Amino acid sequence: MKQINEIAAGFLEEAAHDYVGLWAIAPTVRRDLGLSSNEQVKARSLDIVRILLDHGLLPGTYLKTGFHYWNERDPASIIARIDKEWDPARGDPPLPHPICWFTTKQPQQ
Amino acid sequence: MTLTGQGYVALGAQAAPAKGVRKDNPYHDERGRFTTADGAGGAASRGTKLKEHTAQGGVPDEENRGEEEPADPLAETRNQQWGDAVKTLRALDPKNTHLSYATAPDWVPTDKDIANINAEIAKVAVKRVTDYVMPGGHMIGTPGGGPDVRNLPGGTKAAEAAFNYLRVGGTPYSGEYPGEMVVLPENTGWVGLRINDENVPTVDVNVPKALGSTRFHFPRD
Repeated sequence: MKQINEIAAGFLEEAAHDYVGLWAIAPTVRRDLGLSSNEQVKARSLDIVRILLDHGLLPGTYLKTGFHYWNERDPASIIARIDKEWDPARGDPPLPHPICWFTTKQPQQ
Repeated sequence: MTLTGQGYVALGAQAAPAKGVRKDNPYHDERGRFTTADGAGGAASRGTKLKEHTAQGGVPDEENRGEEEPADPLAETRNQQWGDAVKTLRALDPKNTHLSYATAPDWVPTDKDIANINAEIAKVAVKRVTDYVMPGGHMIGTPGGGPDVRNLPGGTKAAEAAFNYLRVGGTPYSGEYPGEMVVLPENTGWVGLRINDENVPTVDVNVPKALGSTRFHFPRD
């Protein structure tokens, strides 16, 4: 079974080339950690998100019009927003409603 | 499937094919029922009880007057649902055994019939995606940098071909997504086609109960 840090490292690698969405993180956490509880998947996914944020990734909404950075910038606010928007009773965030994506790129001033 | 006293059942183990009924019959009406080349066999009045003839050959008007059964108000809706389901299943899996059925002309599918065919559609839809992404249990492509990211050759054309294969039977998604996305039949998942931030054609696949999430990158040649 993989460790949280190992899973996060994979997404850090992916983020160097593409936006990473929660819709991709949650199922990977579920599978690689062997979790069945939606609450556990959410909790461990948020652990991954904390690592991504620690490495400088920024959250945003990825639309046809491009990547729109969230106003929240500090990890606590970002985690709080994801926590609020993620209802584990509805399963993992799906591709149409991924809550957020992450990027390594900094917003242009 | 063939119609029995209890409704339709799959041909095969449960019932022998009716004479003249076979899979892949090219003649189907709009509800997916078998017809002849001229389209006969489909239309019939519905919701009308056949008049009873007396021993004298006459029809006692008093007895038959007003004997029309009230039409099933949901029959048309269920017929439409059934026809749509048959079309979807045929698109996904033209040789599916659930497509081999015959019905009485005035047959109306029950809610259970529709639930059964939709369950088959869900199963087939997931299998179609899974077989494409993981033929023989192994992911197609080469490692693409990141968990569940795979690289495939062919650039835009290959990405579009993959998307067009995976989207069969799906419904275009009208919400926000940085590209084109479809909802797979019976809400079994989603498949999207986008150009990522490095200008690489990308196919996103999200089938929660089978594959989880996978991203395919198709670097341009």
